[in-house]
Amino acid sequence: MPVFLEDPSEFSKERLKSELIAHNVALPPGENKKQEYLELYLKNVDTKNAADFSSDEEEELPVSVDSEQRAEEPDMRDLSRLTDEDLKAYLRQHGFQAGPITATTRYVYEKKLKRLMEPKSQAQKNGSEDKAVYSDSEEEENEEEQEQPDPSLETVTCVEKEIANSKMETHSMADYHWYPQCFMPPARLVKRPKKSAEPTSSAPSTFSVTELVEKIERRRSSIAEPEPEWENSWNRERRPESCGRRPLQMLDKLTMTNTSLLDTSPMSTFRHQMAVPVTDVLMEIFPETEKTPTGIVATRRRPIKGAAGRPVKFKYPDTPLSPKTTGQQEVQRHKFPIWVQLLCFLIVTLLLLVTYLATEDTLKSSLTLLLDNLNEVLAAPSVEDAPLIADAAVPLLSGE
Amino acid sequence: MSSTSQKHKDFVAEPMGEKLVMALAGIGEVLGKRLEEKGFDKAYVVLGQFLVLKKDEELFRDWLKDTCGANVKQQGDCYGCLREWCDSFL
Repeated sequence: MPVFLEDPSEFSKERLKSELIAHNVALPPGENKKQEYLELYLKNVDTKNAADFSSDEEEELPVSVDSEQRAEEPDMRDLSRLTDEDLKAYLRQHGFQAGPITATTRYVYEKKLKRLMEPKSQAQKNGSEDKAVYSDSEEEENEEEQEQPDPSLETVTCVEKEIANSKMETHSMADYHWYPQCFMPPARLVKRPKKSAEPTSSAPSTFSVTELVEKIERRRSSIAEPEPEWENSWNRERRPESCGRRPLQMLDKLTMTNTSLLDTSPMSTFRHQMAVPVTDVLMEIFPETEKTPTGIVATRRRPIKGAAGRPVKFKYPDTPLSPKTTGQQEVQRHKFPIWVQLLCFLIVTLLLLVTYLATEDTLKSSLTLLLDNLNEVLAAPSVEDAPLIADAAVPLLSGE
Repeated sequence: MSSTSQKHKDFVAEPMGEKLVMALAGIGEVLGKRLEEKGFDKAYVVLGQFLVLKKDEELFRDWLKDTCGANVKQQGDCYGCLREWCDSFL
């Protein structure tokens, strides 16, 4: 911008005035000396220009350099303070080709820029909120909440050894609470010192399904049977000297401050715990997906890794061929040309025909012989009957 | 819709000349008054704004809403009539 290269003190009075008006600076009433205008100009416009100028310089840098930071820049200032060129440049940065920025269009473009910048900043805000949700401190609180019942239960069992009537309930409860520890004690033992050592980094990584189930069960038990728990704490308060251990104080404190394990607060924390790890699981499954404000992500369905639905030829890529098919292939390979086959066929048929004819001749002869014999046999009686017939015929003839 | 309104047809049928801003489809008496107050007294001034916003529908609608408080239908009518006029006369 050539304006910034000039010395404002060399401007004419009229120019200074117009510059001030252009930069929305209220002019002092009446005619004034140039010096006053110059001071106003230096105070209001020049500083602004300097800032704008620097941002302009940045614009000429490669775009890849912290483009996000620059995109946020107009957010910090008022959009109306941007020069027309800056406004246009920001719009271009957001992928919008702005037309001429005039007095009547400027406001429209400012709104447009605001709208273009909004989704981005909103997403960032949401991201930070997510981080707050997953923050370590909260996780730690939950951990504490979760860990505190255990020592207390120790004391509870200790106390209840002396008290007979509610022994059964506590035992069942104690068992209920103890089994996860038997289930996976090393994880707990390892985790606790680690947490104290580096509380920030361990929180997201320590999540495990078994632990979640464990938590849920514990909460459920404390919700389902609040009576014995209450009774236990009551009993212990009556005779604290029976068990002079440190964990006892913790539970006493708990009950005294009404942050008992029973009613509302565990429930709410329970809910909270439920919510957080579930999303965590999603993040574990799809680590590459972006966090969205709604938490709903639509992705292309992944192909199933099994053989389901695949064509058979891909299912068993190198099955050994059956002997039958190999034989067929052999035959195929050693096949004669078709004319040779035809020739063979003709020869064979000819041979068959010849043999048939030959045999037919002999058959015919034998048949004729047989027939002749038969004829002879039949002919003999007919010859004998002939005179009888002739005799019979004679009287008939004679009678006439 | 804009294509069926008589005002739209009349406006699109001929060069706008010196028509008032109220001749635009979707701009009635109230909106016309408001626009006149802001200096957009003639239809060609609004056309100028329309053109300087590069015929962008979203921006023009935005501008019209801000300037005279036009509702969505009025915005659409005005935009449609100006765009069609440009298509035939520009």
